[in-house]
Amino acid sequence: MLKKQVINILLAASALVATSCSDLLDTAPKQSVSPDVALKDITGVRSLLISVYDRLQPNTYYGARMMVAPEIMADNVRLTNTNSNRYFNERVNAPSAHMQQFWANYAAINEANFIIKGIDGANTTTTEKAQIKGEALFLRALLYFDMARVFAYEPTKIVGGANLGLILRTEPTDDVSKADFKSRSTIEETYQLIEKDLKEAISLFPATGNRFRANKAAANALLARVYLYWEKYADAITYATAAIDAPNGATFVTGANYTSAFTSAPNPESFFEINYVQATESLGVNESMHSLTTNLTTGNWADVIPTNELLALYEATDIRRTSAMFSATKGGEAVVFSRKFPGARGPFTDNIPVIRFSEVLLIRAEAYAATGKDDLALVDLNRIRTRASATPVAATVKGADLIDAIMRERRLELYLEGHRFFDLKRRGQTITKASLSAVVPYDDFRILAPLPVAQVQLNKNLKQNRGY
Amino acid sequence: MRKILLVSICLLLAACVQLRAQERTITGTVTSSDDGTTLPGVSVVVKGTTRGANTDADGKYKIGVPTGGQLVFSFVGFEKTTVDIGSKTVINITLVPEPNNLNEVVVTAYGGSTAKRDITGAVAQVSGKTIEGLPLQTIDRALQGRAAGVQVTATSGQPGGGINVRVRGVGSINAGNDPLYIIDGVQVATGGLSGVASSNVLSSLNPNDIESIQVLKDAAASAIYGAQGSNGVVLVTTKRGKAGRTKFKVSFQEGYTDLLKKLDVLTASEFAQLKIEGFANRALATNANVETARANAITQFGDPATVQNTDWQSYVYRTGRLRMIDASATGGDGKTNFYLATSYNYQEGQIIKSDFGRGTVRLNVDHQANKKLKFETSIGLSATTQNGAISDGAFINSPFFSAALIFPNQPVYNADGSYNAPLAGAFSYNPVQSVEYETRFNTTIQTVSNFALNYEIIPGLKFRSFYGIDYANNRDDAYRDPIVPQFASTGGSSTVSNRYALNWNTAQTLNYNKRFGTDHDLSALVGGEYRQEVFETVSATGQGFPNGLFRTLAAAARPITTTGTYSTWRIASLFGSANYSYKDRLLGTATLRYDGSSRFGSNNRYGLFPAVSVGYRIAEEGFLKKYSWLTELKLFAGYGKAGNNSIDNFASRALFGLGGQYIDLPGIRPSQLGNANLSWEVASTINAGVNYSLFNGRVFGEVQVYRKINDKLLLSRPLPDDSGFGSIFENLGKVENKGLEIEFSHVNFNRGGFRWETNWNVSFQRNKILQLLPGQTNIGTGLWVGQPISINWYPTYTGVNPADGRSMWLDSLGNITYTLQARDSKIQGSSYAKGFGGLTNRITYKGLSLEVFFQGQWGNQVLNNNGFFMESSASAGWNNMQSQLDRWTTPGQITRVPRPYEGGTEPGSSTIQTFSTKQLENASYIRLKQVTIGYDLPSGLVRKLNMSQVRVFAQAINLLTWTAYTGLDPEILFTEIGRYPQSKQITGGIQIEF
Repeated sequence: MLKKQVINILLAASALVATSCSDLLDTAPKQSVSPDVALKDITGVRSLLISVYDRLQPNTYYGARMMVAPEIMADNVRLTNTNSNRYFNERVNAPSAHMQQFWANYAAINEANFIIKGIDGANTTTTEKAQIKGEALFLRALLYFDMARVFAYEPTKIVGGANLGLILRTEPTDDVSKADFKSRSTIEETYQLIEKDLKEAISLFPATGNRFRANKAAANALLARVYLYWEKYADAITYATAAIDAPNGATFVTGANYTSAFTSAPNPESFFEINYVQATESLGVNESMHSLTTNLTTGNWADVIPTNELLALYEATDIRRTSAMFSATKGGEAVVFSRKFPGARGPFTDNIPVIRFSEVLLIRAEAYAATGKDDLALVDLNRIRTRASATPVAATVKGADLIDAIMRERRLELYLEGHRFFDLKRRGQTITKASLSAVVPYDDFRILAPLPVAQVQLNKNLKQNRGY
Repeated sequence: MRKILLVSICLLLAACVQLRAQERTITGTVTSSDDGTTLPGVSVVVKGTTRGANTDADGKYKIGVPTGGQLVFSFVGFEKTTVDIGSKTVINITLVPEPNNLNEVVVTAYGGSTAKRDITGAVAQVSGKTIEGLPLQTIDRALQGRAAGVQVTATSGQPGGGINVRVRGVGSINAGNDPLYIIDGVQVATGGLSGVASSNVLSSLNPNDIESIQVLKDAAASAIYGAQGSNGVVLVTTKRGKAGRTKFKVSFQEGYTDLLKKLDVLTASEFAQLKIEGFANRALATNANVETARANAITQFGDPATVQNTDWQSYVYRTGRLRMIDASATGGDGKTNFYLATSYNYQEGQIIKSDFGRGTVRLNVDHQANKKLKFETSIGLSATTQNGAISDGAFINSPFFSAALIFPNQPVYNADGSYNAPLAGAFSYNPVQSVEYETRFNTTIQTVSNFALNYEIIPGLKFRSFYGIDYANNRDDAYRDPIVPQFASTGGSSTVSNRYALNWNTAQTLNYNKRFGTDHDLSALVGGEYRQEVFETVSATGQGFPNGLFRTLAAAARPITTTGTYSTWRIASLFGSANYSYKDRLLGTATLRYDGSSRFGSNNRYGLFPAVSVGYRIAEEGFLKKYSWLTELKLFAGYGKAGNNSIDNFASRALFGLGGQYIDLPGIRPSQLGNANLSWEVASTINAGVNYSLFNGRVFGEVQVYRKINDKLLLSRPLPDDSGFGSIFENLGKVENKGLEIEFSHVNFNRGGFRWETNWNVSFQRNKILQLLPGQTNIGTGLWVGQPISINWYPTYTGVNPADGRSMWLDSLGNITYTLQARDSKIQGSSYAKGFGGLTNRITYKGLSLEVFFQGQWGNQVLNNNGFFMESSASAGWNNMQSQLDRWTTPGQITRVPRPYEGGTEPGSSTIQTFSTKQLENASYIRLKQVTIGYDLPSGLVRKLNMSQVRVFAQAINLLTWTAYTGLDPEILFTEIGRYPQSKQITGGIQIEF
């Protein structure tokens, strides 16, 4: 009897444990799902596309760095005397104080690749397939182009034979075997992919679209910018014109509405604008453009102000100085802050314009001037100047002088929108500013960002930029 | 196996029949030589038989014996005494306490116990007596310096805050390194739940309820816990009822907490002086007007001659109150025994508003239903509240960080008594105001309880069915009052988070104990276990409050976010172990565990963890018997494997997770690549030691050496970022920990009622990475083969150029440079301590007792991150340390402090604020951790009062620290910034038993 009892108990115990081992170890994460489940339905693909937009928002990309770093690394922006240490090294172009954070764009590119590959087989209408694919292509082009500007020279401005562009990935990494070690393509190949993506996107998009998302006019505008960097001026003119003439697209606001346009969502000038919902997406007091560039809210860092040199370029009547900026005191220092990020979308929250009507006008003006069509260039340029209540550029200004005038206008118009450093770079110009004891010539290694050291160590096929 | 079992049962029955034939009865009383009180529960055994009895509540026993032969009396903590029976019918005996710890009973896995002398693995013990009455909130703090091989570092000085416990080094890089905590058989989740205060799951347990703590350190001891055992196992046993009349114990203590020290910052006048120099130096270098610059500095920071200084630290720190009340009752009739205890513990932190409060109730009941069936239940309930503080980071609104860094020329209050806010400089929050108006409140209700049924199937064979639960419910309230200017723009905000952690385990075990003949002792354990843990969080935020009186979320004008998380994991196991001893001399143990865990890849879900150990009590051998001074000498060694499964619950799966949101639509994104081969880390430990007791226990201790190889370490193998994934977890790495642990105790003096005992423990440890990714010597800059897991990676600071006062560093070629690049950094020592230990002196004379306990560690270099900010020659937007008065001022001057330069970056130089060896400091320390003075009132007087013991005491914790480290507290893991420092506690109290 005892024997039986012992055996029974042993049996019962092992039976309990045995069943445990099979089903009882199955667990399911509630916040995550397996990939085959995730993209089975079009709703999954739509949500994946949302993630790519979400990747544009952090302060390390369009949220702040894309807006501030190109300004402070060049000569448009300086820090107040008392500051929070943000952009401290970028201010003096210290080695590695650049925009290498954009290397993280590959995560978004991979998501776009998932969409581009999977969309054709998705269970939805042809129209939606075209829309989603177009958006993913536009976003992939934008992500690659921003990286190309940071990590590589422009195809026509190569220094010392450094013609490398980016690692180009167009297939999704859905298995660890695909995470292989690739080498950088040339910058020419990089631009070709961007061009191809944008052209395909343009062909897929309907004529009009939501300006918080990728759309046809935005793709035309971005492609115009790419051609400008590529010095393919005729193409730049074509696509800039297509954007400018796009129906129900962005519009050129009046001088009276200039400053308030930055509080509209979207800004009437935006071809593509990154929307921020305050409740869930605000970058807050620590990282928002509002906090960095104004003292409008208590607790703001209010670190970033225009250089005296830039301020001197504005005419006394220029609304971009009189209306879009205001004077204040910071730590005992008389300073000027911008009104481009007034917290229009709620506390510490503003939308970020990615590409704006005025920029496209200036792209076309520069492309005209570069191809000898000075008169047409002057029309576009003076549309900007007249609107700002600034003296129009005289018709006597020609050739290189006209281009200089356009470059100067870009500084004034696109202040805090992340262009100045790239403008100097693509034109092969030297950076001079008060905070530097020595200038940064175009061939200085600091013009290009370092590839992340860990990546170069990891991937022997990945060539680091010169000087790092 | 079954056959052997049956044969042995038959033998046993036969023996009983024979014994009955010769039976007669002996009675007697057992008392303690210590205080003359009777001892209940003493085991009385007829030598060489299994016939035995226990003394009852009054210390009386009755036993049937044969003529001749001997009776053996044994009781925990007392020397085993053998008496010839002869023809006596009454045997009264006085037992002498055992000074030697080898007879201590050690709790082992799954409800077992054994004598320390029979242990062949590495087990450290801390007795409940050692920690009783200490003003500590959690028991992990009590382990510090008291258990060899167990390194304890407070991660926060918040009362009830987090503690980092490492058993025999750091074995894992990416998986957890926390030991497995088991409270009365319940495997509890580690870590803190609260997000607003540093908290600790063990804070549910009142340290005064603890009977003993055992730390299983090597695989021989911990392999029975398989995939959860490699970081060591901490077995906590609470007090249980003892048969006898009900004994009451009440204790009360009250005292205060104070800060260890304040940072020695510049006064407003000194700061203004340095600022003036910095402004002037900058003006000179940039061809600006020097006089204007000076005037600017004076406008902002005041005239050094007249400026008023504010010691901001004195406004945020305070002397806090501390109170502990404990009451317990214990007793029982032998059939049903109970331990009932309740406690209240309240401690104010040394920063204003921060505190800790806890109430606990514990009821442990044992019931012997009949000869075979016994129930045990332990119910522990606790409610904890904490007011937290912003800490552990360069947060400008953290009182710990900002109070030292605010410009000292600013007063706390305006002339009209209102708060001076916002402040000038980078530290715009007035910390006195923001602490006052920012609520960070944590409430945690927790139970760690269990139920066990024991059934003795046949003598020696017991079945145990165990069920344990650890359930904690936490609520965090984070409220920011719109009255603080920085919070006004959002109209104030409130975040309420609710979390629960449910963790339960069950174990079904069979335990068999049998002595064969006189020489062979066998015990065996087999069983199965299952554990599940579920963790869930819900949290909501609202903004826009009318004022601080309305704080519920309903009062918020705008609901902002709601979030939720959920996670779970499971483990199922089979295990067995067997102990064998021959003539009590040769000891052997073998253990085997088979685990399946939901965390691992589908190809690698199950694992086997074996261990063996042997011991040899050589002092029992004839050739050593002649050395009478050699009381005990045991050699032991073990080898085994245990696992570490502390990885993310879903680390092996390919997943799509939440991917942010855009235009109010939710996103999803690929969050990780799958690895079906992902498996646990395996720690193989070889351990050898010697356990000794000399001169009748006047000198005793233990020496152990170990080498522990953690293999198959989960490393996030970096993937090229361009793949879209940063890394994938794979089992690739290997780390070695080796060490030497010495425990050494000696009774220095024991005469005429005066007794002085000293206990030392010292642990030496070395940690080395043996292997990282295939063919690679490093991962990033933090992990290098051949180096400890935590190294410092910084450039070398070489001081100041005597010619111009600029900072100088070494570049990668060893040349002096002014502009550093990433490549100039190198390995600069490690924050991994080379060793640590503790020293206790205990002196008693009649009723007086004095305990002095030192604790310390050495050999670690840590980054004083505060120094990055506060040793910047007053060139940035915050105050600096007094050390900056040594700044360079004149050509030829030799100093390590560069000249002030407003903004910090001289033309053509890297900024003064650059991480380098400048901020690395030696964090070795010795701390006078505890001093306790007690006085037991004379027993005659106490008896007159109808009590059995009255003790008054005073004690101090963290009284003094000796260290070269210049920050607030050298007890840090890697680096320190804005940390909630530890505090000093001084209390006095009384303890009454009746």
